[in-house]
Amino acid sequence: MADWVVEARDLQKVYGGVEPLEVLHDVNLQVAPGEFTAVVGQSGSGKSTLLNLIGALDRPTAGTIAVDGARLDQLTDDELAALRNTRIGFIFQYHHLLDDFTCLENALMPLYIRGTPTPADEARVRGLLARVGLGGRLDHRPNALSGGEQQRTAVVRALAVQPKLVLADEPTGNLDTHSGNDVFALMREMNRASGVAFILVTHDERLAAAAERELRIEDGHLVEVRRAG
Amino acid sequence: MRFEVRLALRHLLAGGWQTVLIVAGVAMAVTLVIFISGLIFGLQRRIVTTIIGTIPQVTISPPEPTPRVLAPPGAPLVATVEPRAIQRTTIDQWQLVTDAVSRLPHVSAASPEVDGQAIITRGSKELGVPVIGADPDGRNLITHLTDHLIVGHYLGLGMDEVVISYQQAQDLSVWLHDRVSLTASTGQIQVFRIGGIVDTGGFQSTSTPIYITLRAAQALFGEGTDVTNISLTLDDSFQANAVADQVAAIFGVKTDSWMRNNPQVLSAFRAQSATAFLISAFSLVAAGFAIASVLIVSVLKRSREIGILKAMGARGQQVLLTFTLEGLGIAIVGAIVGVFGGCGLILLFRAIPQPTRFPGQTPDALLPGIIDPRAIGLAMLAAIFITVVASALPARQAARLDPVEVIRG
Repeated sequence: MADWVVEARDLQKVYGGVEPLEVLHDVNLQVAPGEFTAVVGQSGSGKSTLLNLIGALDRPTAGTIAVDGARLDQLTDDELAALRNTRIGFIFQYHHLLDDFTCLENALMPLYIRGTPTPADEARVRGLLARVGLGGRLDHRPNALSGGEQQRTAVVRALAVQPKLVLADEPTGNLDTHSGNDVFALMREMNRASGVAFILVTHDERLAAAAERELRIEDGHLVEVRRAG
Repeated sequence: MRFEVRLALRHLLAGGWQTVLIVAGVAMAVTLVIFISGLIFGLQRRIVTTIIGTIPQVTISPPEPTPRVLAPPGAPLVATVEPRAIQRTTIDQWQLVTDAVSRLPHVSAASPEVDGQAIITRGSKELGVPVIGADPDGRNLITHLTDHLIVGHYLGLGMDEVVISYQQAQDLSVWLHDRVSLTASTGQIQVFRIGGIVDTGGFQSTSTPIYITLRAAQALFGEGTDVTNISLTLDDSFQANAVADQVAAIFGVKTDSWMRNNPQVLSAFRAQSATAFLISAFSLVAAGFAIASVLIVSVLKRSREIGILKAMGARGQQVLLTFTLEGLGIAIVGAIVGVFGGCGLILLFRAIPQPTRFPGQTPDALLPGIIDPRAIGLAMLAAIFITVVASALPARQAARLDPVEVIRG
């Protein structure tokens, strides 16, 4: 097992164009297994960019990233897709559930992409959905679920493949305070129960304060704000 | 079930009316292709059976005598070569030739005959007509006279019986069992009874042949036991030229084929076939464009979904396959519906009768379309091919979507 779930060294990300824009500069980050990290910063500070780089959705201009010991720059597109499918879970600001599939099918989607889920997989996902209070909503389509329910389904979907790391980009940003707190509490609970590391991007200082560790992006640099223990 | 199949199926089912419309588009194109080609090839078959089916496809006659020049080769000579007037001659060794020709590829029947011209008379009415004297069993394989009989019989025709056309019977005011006399060009006169009346579709009394037995014709035209020509029918009408050339080369006889005698029919066939092909091609291509545009809209509509799937680890190949499968699903269902539509239309139009020419005639279909399994197979394959090609562009577009772009939006 790798020492770090995420290990980023000297990351730089520049967006091209007539006037190149350097979003991230000299970013170094190590995330331990099971750690719950919050990343805060102003809008446009590069929080989501960092998350996309760690999530292998985008490539850095310079620097290296390793996720669960795998160096992303050394992997092909297909290998990156496989890594995203097996070791990383994503939760987005908008739930991004597929409208034509039921709540259960949506939660199983990463497993469908990999192949046919085993009965054990399906039982586990059903169990997770029951635990987040969606046991009676399995056959509902996303448009029949409330915002909170949709985001809870997305949390279960991120955990369906038993990843090493969950990347959450403003998961509560689109919810009312009550539902937002619910979803945050659920992520903390899942983090503690399953030992999966979370990186949560938010601009909600209150939620960030409730995380084990808090980082801030300022002028393209990543600064450690606080670390528990 | 594979992820790509599951996703493609769900997209099609969720598409609702949009899916129904696009499937209907493919179905209509396939219907049109099957109906138009069935109709045009059916019309051609009717022409073949009604016009060509009643005449021999290849006719063997004695070689034309070539005039000989009475001078040694190379001798200085001023001369005009004039072909001799054609004389009635007969085919040497006709039994052997008939046997040998029957065994050639594509020849399905050979009928030795004595043909000539005669005047058929009833009271004061008379008509000059071609006479075909042949064994009814053999000749019927070529002319299919029994299919066109209105009354009487042709098979088992007696030595003193003649089969004439309905128009001739009208012109001579005769009917079954009435007596007529035939005056041959040799001056020989014989009396015959009407054994049968046929309708072969011809309206000209004087160009439609009458039929007697071979023995009767040999006696009428004074040919002894000889024959004047051998008629052939083929298993494939369009091999007539090849067979005619082959027979002429082997046996040193003169041959004629229906294709050389009716070039205008052949060119009409070619024009019809080209029309059928063009209409089919245009409708399939139009369907292809419709499918491509609907799928492009579908990809745009689902770009968020595609991005999220790629973020969750779906590979570009999987996305490509999903949208190609959608196209394939549309094509297969559309093609099957189209086959039923096309065959249904052909059967429907075949059931509409034409007005009959005389009482008791079995009416012909107004549009005699045929259901040709080869045409159906080709139409389905072409539709499926075009649909898959049409879905390739939107599928590639989907596979290349950058998840970051989509999720950020």
